[in-house]
Amino acid sequence: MRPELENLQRDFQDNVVEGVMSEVMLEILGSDVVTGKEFLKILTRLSELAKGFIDTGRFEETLLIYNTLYTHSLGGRFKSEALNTIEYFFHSQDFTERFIRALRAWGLKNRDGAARLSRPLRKSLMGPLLAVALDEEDENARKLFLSLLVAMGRDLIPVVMKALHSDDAGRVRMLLYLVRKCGTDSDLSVVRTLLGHKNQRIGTAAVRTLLHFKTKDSLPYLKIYLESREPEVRLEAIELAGLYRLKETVPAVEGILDRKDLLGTAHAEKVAAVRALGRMGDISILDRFSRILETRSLISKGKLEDLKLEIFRSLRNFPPEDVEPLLRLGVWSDNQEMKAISAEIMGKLYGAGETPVDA
Amino acid sequence: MPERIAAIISDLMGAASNAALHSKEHPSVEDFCKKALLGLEPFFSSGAASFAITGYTLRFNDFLTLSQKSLVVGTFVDKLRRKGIGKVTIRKGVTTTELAAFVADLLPSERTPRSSPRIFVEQTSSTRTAGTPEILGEMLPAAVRIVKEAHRKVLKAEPVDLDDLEGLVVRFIHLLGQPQSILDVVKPHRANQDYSYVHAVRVSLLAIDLARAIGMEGDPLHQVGLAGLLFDVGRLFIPHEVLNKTGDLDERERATIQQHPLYGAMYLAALEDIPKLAVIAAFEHHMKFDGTGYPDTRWRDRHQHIVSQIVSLTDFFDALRAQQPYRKAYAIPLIVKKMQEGARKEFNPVLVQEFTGRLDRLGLLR
Repeated sequence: MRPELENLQRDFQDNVVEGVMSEVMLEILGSDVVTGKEFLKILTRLSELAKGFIDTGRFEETLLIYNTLYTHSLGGRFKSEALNTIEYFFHSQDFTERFIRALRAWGLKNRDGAARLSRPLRKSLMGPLLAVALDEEDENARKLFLSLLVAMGRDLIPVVMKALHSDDAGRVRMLLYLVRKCGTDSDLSVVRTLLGHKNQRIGTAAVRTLLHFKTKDSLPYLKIYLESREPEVRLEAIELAGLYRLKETVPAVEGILDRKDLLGTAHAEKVAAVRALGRMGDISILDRFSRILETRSLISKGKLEDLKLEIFRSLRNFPPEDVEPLLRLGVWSDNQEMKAISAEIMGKLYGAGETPVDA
Repeated sequence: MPERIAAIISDLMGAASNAALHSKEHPSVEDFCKKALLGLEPFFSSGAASFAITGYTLRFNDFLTLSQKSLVVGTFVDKLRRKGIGKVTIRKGVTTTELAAFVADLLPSERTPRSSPRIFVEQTSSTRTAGTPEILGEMLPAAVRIVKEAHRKVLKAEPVDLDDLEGLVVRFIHLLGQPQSILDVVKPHRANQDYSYVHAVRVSLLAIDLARAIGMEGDPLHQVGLAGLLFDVGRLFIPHEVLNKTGDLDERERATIQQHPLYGAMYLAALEDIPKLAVIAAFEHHMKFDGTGYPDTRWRDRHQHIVSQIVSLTDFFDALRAQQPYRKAYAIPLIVKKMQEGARKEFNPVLVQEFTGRLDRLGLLR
């Protein structure tokens, strides 16, 4: 078959014909000649086409039908007919289920189309999509669902608030993520009820939400969690302190770094503490860092090296001139990453490729 | 009940569409088949469920006639017809894998579905192969009568007897299977009171011939034939005095005339069973290859679909081959010259080349 004939034949494929048919029907609906009777009949055929489009992940073609009907519903000659189709077809449970099934199958491939269609359908979509997102096991699909929910903005908050009363930490954390993304500080009353939750992982997520909105009561709660008996909770609290660069927590986090840890069980916490302190960029901590860098250990040499490396990684967050003494230790290190970081920051101080004579 | 069957068909077509767009192994194909199976389950109490087609009519379990008002039912019928399937019986115990294999085989690129342990496929009795060879002149009066009746029904918004039109297209295809029959179709003809219907018949024949020349066969070819028969139906909705005015048209009259593609497409789209290609051709046959022409569009881009390109080219040819009261029929070489001048502007150059090449091979350009 000659290539130019193959091109012509492509027009006969079902998906092409359906797309053109849909556009032609949209033209007819928008024309002056259409009568009410024909408008309704064509709406029925268009709805069927829309089902076919959504079942095969053709979000843009579905959106085109929706948008046209929406335009008609605003002021067309048959606005009530168009409005009814939007309400009873596009916002129906059946259509929503089809859409969610299509999102799972094609949403990742066609994120833009999925997002563009989910926005106008948010009224009926947000509840079922939230339920599906909370139960979704596939991480990529869950991330997609959450991103679509985030794009729905503040309208999502009442639905999220209703779902917040759960003991499942994973679900609550996802919901609080949505509060942070879509809510404001006026949406925090329910969140505050979670601060004393028996599951402290829910509590830390609630604190994170308060920290996000910079509320006055967030810091005292964070300090409580920094003192938690549960290592996992402490670790999360440390990460939050670093994430929100809370210099007020420096003494508490430094305290964690100072704790004796003969068995090395708190190693992850200490690394996290260094990272958090580094993020805060408070120069008062540099003496403490310096002491760690000068420490020698025969028992937990590997773990100490990890800690030292984390210190060097954090040095980029401080003014170069304040960390110079530490960099001098780094440039003579056997660890290539420490050496590279030190050289990089030294370069900022003295110019690339230059090192001080006594280094 | 019909809604439940339509839902089953919708799931089967969902599976087929997904197999076509992605692959038959795509998880969504299995999902749709599972849903279809769930829908079929209650009907297995009597052992099996069946879909049978006669012409364009679909019957479930031999008693329930399903309306093609539903597009998915129409699509299902199209797919079965394209594969020459008359009946499918699905027996209790059928698996999603069997169902997925069946729907995937309904795709044009796949083999014709074969029976599996629990899906029994029966081929249609060959309704598309007519018996005795025909001659256009003998066939024409009956053909005109059928087309006239179909147009009359469209005008009254009554259901069109698609089986009659389809039967006509089958005869056209058979007629064109005879090598010299096209010579009858391209002969000049005198425009009489039935000119519109004679013209529709000739455009349908020429369109089938051209579509076949570019490699189309099976159901799409039939749909092209139907599109040729119905493309100008919108003219029925234009006042007689405007349509038959011999002098120049004023602006308002021209605007009225230019609405006929919209009227035609609207009434065809609103009728049950009318194939999509017929609606598309009715709407676009005055759009041109380069995107100019009418009607104006807001949602549709200005790319004329291939069926409309075929119909507008053959419409042009036959219109000039007709002897009108005010002019003689054009000679074929002159029409070909005009077509070639219009290539890339009015007409798809590939189609012009195919069409004129065919006339040349018949020795009609000398």
